[in-house]
Amino acid sequence: MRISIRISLIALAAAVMGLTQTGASRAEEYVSKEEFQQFKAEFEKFKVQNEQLKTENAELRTENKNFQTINKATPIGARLDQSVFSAAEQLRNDVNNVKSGTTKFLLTGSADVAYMDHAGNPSTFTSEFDPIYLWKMSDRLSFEAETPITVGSGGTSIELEYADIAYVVNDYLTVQAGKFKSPFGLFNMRFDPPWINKFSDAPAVYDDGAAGLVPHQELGVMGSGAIEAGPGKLKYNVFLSNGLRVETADPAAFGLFINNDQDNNKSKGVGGRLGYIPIPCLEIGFSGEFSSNVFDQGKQGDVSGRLLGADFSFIRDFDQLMGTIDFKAEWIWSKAGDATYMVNTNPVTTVVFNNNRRDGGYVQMAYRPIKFDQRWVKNLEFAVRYDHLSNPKPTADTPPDALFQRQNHDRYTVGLNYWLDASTVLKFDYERDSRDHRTIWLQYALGF
Amino acid sequence: MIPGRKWQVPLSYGIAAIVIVLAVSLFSPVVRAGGGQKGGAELWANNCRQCHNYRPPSSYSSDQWDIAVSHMRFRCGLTANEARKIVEFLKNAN
Repeated sequence: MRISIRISLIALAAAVMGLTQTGASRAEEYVSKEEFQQFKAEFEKFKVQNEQLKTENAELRTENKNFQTINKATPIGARLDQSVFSAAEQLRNDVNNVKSGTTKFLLTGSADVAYMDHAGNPSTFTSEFDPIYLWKMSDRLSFEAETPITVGSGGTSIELEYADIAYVVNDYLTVQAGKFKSPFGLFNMRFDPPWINKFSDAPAVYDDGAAGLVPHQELGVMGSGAIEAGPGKLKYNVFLSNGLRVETADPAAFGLFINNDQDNNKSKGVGGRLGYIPIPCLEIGFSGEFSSNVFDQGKQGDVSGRLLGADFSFIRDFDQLMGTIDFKAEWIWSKAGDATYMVNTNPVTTVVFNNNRRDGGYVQMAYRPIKFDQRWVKNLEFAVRYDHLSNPKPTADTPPDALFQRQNHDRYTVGLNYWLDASTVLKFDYERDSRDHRTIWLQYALGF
Repeated sequence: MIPGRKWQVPLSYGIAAIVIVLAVSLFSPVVRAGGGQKGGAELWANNCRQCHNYRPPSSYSSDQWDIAVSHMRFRCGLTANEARKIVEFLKNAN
């Protein structure tokens, strides 16, 4: 009972205190009518502003949705100002129109000037300009031609080295027709330009127009291509042409195969090369060419001819040697059937070849110290080459002026090159031939 | 030495040199010679140097490289894949 009374007294005291507090705060929070009207006006103003913001927000949402839709549907480039693109395109076209090459024509090639001192003969300067004309009519169709212009004892001469049209049938076959470089071996097709050849002259077996074994050009049709084969690459050339032809006018060159620009008989020739590259620095190749008749039509029965060749190429950088080793080797075997050659003497005499076999080749190596720091050392290149040519032995009926050409001979060449840039070189060569005297060459060659 | 066969000695040296170089090559790290998955720069380096020094990409314009590489494709036996990649590289780098 006493507890109940105490609780009631405490509750009553608390209630009195609470009423007192509430009365005080109400007095402090009293709002006058003016204040109320002001507050109401401000409230109405905020309401209007809120409605405006809601409207603006809705508009922004709509715009944003539209922008996102456009953004998804249109690439970024298309959204840039079209006028800027048009102007840039116009500028590009203007530049391309004055740039060489947009007509799909390219003038390239090589040139060289040389000084040759052949012991026992007058020393002489020589000069040659080899423009190459390339047209690319479409991705499949193209045309190539080369017209070397040379200065010699007979004046200036222009030749048609090759002129052929090429059609890319598919990824694995390109067909060329016309006069084309013979794909036989390595040198003729790839190392002949003076800025590529490590020496000032060609290897003896490729000696053009003298005692070389391999014709430089073929007239006919050729198929070529390359394909990945295992870990390496296989490449091929196969041609049908006017074929091999023997020299019958010059006793010194009787029996040698020469270019057959105008077919001298009904027989055609077939030939080609197969090359395999097992690793990027190495290539091995085999070549062959066959004709059932190499002699002039009607002068005597068919005289067959054949050429066989093997080639090897290796080029690689060696850290230990601080430079690049470039090694090339080729060997070629030539055989023409038995024949009797007429010598234009008075009275006419004859030369009989019953064993018209020749063979020859070259082995060469070049070293360029490209890993040295000094620029002038990097630009140097040292080269050595060994050449050989075996000819049929002279017989009793061999004309005296043909005896020299019928000798076997070895040739050793030492060269020092200085590269002015990637396709310009100064060469110095010292050459010694076993059947002849020494020759000194100085040559300046460039590719453009 | 048999007269007229003097060349056989240097020829033997030549063949021996080929065999040595071939042996060195075969023991080198195996690298694919064909185009495969190689990039244009690597193919350009591998193929062009087989014959000549690298010509800088700036030597020709893009259109000129297009023509030059087409010529090189059948001159030097590039696969179609190699030619495409090399042209693409040279056009981007010139």
